[in-house]
Amino acid sequence: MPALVTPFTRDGDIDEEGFKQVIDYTISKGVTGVVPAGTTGEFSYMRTEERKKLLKLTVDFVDGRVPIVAGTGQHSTKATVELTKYAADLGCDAALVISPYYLRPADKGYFEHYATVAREGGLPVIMYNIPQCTLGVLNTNVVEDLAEIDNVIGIKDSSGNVPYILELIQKLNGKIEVLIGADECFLSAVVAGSNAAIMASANVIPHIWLDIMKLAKAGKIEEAAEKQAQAQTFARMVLKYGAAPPVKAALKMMGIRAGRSRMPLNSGGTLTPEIKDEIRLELEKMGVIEPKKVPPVQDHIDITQALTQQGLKVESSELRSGSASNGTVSVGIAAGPKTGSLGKAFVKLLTTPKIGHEALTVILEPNLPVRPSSLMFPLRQIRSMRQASLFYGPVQSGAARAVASFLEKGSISQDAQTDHVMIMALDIDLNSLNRREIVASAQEAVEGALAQVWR
Amino acid sequence: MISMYDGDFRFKGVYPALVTPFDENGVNEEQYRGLIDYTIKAGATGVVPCGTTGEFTSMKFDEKVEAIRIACEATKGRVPVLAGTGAASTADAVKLTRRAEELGAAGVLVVSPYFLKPSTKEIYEHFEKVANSTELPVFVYNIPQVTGVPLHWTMIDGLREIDGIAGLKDSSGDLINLTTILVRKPNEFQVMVGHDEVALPALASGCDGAILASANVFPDRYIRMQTALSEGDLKNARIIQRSIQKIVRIFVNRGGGLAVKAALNMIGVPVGHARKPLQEGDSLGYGDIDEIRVCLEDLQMIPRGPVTFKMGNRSIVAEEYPRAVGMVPDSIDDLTLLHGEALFGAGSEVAHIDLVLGIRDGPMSEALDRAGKIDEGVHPSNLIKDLELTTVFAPTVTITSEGHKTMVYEVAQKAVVDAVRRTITDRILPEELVPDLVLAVNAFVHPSAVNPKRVHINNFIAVRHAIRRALEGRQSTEEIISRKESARHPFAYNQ
Repeated sequence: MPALVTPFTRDGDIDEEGFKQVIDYTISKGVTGVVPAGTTGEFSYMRTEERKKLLKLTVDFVDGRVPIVAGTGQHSTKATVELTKYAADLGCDAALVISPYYLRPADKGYFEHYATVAREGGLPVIMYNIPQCTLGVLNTNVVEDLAEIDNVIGIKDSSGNVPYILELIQKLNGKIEVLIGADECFLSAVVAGSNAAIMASANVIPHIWLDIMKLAKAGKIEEAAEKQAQAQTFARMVLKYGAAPPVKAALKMMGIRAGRSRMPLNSGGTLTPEIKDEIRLELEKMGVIEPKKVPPVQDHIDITQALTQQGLKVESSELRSGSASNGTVSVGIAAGPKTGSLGKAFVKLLTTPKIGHEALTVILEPNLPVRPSSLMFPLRQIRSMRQASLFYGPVQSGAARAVASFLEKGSISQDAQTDHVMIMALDIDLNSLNRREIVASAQEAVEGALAQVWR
Repeated sequence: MISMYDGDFRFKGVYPALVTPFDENGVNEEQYRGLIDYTIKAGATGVVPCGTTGEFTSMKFDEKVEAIRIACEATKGRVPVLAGTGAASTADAVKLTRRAEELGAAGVLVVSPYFLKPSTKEIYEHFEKVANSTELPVFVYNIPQVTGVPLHWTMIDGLREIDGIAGLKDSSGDLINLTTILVRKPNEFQVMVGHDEVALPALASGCDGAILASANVFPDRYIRMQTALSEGDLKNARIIQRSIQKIVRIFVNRGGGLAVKAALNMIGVPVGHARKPLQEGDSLGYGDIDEIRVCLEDLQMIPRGPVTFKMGNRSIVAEEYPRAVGMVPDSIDDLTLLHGEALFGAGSEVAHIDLVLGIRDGPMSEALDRAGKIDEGVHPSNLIKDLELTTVFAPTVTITSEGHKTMVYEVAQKAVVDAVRRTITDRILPEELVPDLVLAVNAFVHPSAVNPKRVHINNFIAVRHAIRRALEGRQSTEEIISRKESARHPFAYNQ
């Protein structure tokens, strides 16, 4: 079940049409229920009246197609009971009740809170443990006691604490349902005996989670694990970057009107532009959106020509140059004395950076540049912060390692280390996903070219 | 309230938690004696060998005995030795405590057992056993950030009453727990603060003294702080704490002994390197090392001396160059084109600087060529106005908004100006050389940066570091080679 996002308009109102689109999309992908006003639904930023409206909209839009588990948790017990009653009157099927937060009770307080809501709320209650937000934990012995109460039918655990959820599954022993709320641990929990999930990423890829569940229940664990691994990065990013913002961004990339988040979550601080780009690539990988076509990397880079394209004239006769390509990374390198034309090109490249082709120092890591002084720039234009992080990340790291290995071998003389500069032009598919592979490919290609430069 | 220690030992003043100089054979005795002499001359009222800062967990039993022996001999008749004799296992702690007693230590400092987390009962019995094994006063040592075993004030209530337990060193930095301990204890129970960042509030709250990592470097400052407090001069005590707050933050949080060793080496008290797995460039980052250095310059602890700048057949001498020992060459031989890089800070406010510096009529003339001109598809660079050193500023990031533009062209550029001026007043760039030089600075500011103060600070620091690195040729080729495999580029990993 998706913990439905609540689309907000620019003005902060609930975008009803957008909300309907999200519900219709998730139902079309086979969800077995929907959960409005959960954590991902930004319930904590909504007043009670808005939450009532949201529940009403859910009932109208779902129109009996799937069950509705309404998020009805509030700070105080009284308010929680009232909202739960309201959901019952609307015809919701169950209530998801977060453990009271900010002013946190201890065990007795949690017990009485849930017992009261179960007794007076008029709906089956699913308890909700999410200590990373509430800062309080529902101890398993409290949960065991609550499981004895009629109308308490389950607990959703979003802690991602595997020993904790295993303890719940073991101690509750099927008495009430243990629902997994930590997307990253989905398969682990299912294998351990969980039969349901309420998750943020199920707004986007419910079909993948349903497949995994089906495979796991059929004993096809390896296939299930493979699918979980495919979804793992996306799941991790959703949880790491604030749930609602990345889920909304993903849905919008798919053409679903998921709207904006509310202040203070809407400013792009939680979900930076580079993470947004990572999400797009993950959605492409999972086949949720069409990948963009990119041209293959150049098979040969003539560094003199590449520098000329940047408006830099160099005297080939002064230079040692080399080039190499391995299909993933292609590179052309020039080395020459500081006092010559390459020294000038070096300064010019740094001081008149071309947009999208900025040259940066070749570094093993920040604060650890290589010698001789070396710059690298991308031939293919960088169009986003994510692409920048790929070029000035794994590509830079691989290139620097290559130079360091030549220093280690003693191929670059002491004098050359201080009197020369190097410039490298590189080409790579800037949408590549596997950064480890790029480090290795960049190192290999740059070593190939360096072997021609520092014979 | 009773205390069960009735001996004469009274902790007074400040003891350095001595770093341990190592060589290939074990403890480097010459350097260790040199360090002990330095700290005593600088005002230390005692010393602590084999503490956490002394990397005691990286020493063999015999090496710890050796370190305690050297400390006892080197201090003889001058100041007392409080020997670190704690160990994860009770038997080891007892054994080393006995050895320390034989060697002439005045007391022992015993860390709570760590790693395998013992229960209250076991911790209690551990200290009881150690205290029963010796005539020396035993000081309990609470440092939960590395032991994982916090000693709560309720536990101290009991430990205090064990025969032979004379006091506590509290390095937790937890002033709530410490204050409770201080208000509950009898006078005779001696409490020392062990967390440099909170020395002032801890001493003001009633600690008897301090055992500190930074007291290897400037014990006198703490002595003066204590004197000020005892005279009711809170203002002066605050000024002293303020003067060292930044450097002690680096010491405490960036590797402890590793960082203190870097500082001692820079001021000319050679103590060698930390033992692996601790290494410079790791928990103590390269930026931290440069910051330790500028803090020590501010404290006037870095020796100053001449560095010769050579340009062809001309040479100009920077007479008062801050020559942190081991970091600065005697001369800078070629000013054609020097290249420096530095990253400082973290998150959205991170600063990443690439810069080149050189004589005006060399390749640096290229930097002036397009400065201030608008070219299609190129980040505009500009000549910074009213700055003594000719400086070209260029961003390496595409401007995404008005706010971002302000952050780059106003905040970061102002940081460049301030860093260049500071480098001149640091007496690194000789004034008569300034007219002949051109500097070009590339700055990266993240589009999500929102905190202008932090952007300014990070860029100021990064530019200052990058200029020094360009001039001094850091990091060295040896450093590059040795970090080839273990270097970790932050963006080289998958999400």
